[in-house]
Amino acid sequence: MSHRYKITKSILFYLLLISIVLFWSFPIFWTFISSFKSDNLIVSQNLNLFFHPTLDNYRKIFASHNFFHFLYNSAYVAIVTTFIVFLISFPGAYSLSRFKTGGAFFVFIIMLTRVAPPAAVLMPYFLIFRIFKLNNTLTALVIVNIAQNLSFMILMLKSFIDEIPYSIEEAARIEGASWYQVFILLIFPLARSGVLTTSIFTFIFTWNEYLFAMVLCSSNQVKTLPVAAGDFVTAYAIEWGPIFSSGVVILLPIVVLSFFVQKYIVKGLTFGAVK
Amino acid sequence: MKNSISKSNRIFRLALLAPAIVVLAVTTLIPILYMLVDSLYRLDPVVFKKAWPFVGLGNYVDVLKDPMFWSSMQKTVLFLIYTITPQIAVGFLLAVLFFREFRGKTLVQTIMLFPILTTPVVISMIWKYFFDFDTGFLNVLLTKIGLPPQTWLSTQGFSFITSIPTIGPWLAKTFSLNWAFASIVFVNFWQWTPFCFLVFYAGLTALPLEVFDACRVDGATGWQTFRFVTLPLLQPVVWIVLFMRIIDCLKVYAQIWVVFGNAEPTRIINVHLYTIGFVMSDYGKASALGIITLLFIAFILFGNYLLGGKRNES
Repeated sequence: MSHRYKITKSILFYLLLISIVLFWSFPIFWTFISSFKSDNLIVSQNLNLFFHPTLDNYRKIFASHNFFHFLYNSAYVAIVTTFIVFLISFPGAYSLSRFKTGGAFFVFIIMLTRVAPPAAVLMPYFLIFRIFKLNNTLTALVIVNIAQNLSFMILMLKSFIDEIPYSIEEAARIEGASWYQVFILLIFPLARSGVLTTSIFTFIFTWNEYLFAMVLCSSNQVKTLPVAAGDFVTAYAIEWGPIFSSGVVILLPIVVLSFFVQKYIVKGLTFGAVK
Repeated sequence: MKNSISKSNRIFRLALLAPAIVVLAVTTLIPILYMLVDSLYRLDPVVFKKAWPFVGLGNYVDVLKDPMFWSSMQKTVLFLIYTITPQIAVGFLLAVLFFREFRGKTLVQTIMLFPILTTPVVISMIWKYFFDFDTGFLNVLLTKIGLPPQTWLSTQGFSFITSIPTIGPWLAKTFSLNWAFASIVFVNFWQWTPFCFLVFYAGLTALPLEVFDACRVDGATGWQTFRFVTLPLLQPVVWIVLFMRIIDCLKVYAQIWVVFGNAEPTRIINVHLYTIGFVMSDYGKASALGIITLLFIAFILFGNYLLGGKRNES
């Protein structure tokens, strides 16, 4: 009796598990499948689980919608932003973590700069960039994305550096290493996984950014992938094929990169408050 | 020991932090101050160099007189409540459910990770397809199993609410009880419940196991353990999640814009801001609205801090 109860319980558990996994993975899986379907299959009244795959949807976005260029724009903005954010946030995070510069108050102020929603500060950015003739340049997007990600990345990196035992640094100091040497030759290699995680987060958030890109970089020359893909949906006549293929193009690097941050995602997204 | 460090190398540690402070100050303070000044003028979207007429608080009056502003505020608050409550509840339940050994645990956690990092625009595109009336996945599925298709993105109130005599239509309108609003809530639920789950799960694994052993020894039931041990111990984590979810929910824009544009039934404050600023090109009014939005958010977060975050400040 009790044995039977146990088996029923575990079957129920696995059924629940499978439905939960399906619920959260199916939409993305279906997008991937549909991107290889021809247009008339997508809009037919059948689910078409088995079909003859075609690359038409990919050909369409790359050949006639200039997606190579948008891909370049997105990659450029994301890579440059990530690199600059790293250069600025790593020393800052080290200083906050080791010397407690400014104390908890400072950390709080840095946290506050992340609170404002993009839509609320969009207007002044647009007007200021207009003065400097930066609208419709990728530089504008880089600046905005640095502003959006910097505070977050400092706090995230700080939580990683906090975990490196201080005694290692002390030992190096006693051996006669300068602060500079400790910082570059010791802390940087030790904080490697933290640096990698934060950089991947910056890259993904910048890659995903939509609102600023839509307003500040609307011309075809400087459009990024999310804006270009969004155009397919807000267009008068929706073409589902390119929507799915552009979705897959955008998601692919994220899927690859997310494997690297998997272990640290909770710690990263809560500034190390939960590990 | 720490003291000796903080006395020496003062220049070094400030120099390390200086670039970050300068960049944060420039990119945060300047736009906000600029917006504050702009909000006092009637900006001309075309002629930029001319001196604009000073209108004092005129723009603020304009914003507050606009019924759209109040409706968007109302929708923002409803959106926060409707999205965050089930996310935290379901995320918590999933964390408790999965807090045991089973096969494929890592796979489950990996899969739950994707929605969080997925591009908002792509998520809205996917769900727009799923909800589509003619060719959407859900309706095709419903037709296949012999049920009538639903208008998932309809902005009409739920029929079972509007059919309630007298107060039905009022209820549906005041509390945004329609498919369109439900769909934006649902999309957010889909994307962010995994986040709540992962954080709560991490919180659970960080709890000392001895506590649960002690519960078992003392003969506490599963429910008692949950109610009197797990829940109180996880309370700080709940506040962290709540705080982060409020901040992120107040940033939601793409998922609504892509599916509904600036339609009134789903126009939360961010969409309203965009509409005033970049559809109607009323820069001065948009600046005033931006300042009001920032104040509103400060108010909400301060309230959250007073209610519970304060106790858990570390």
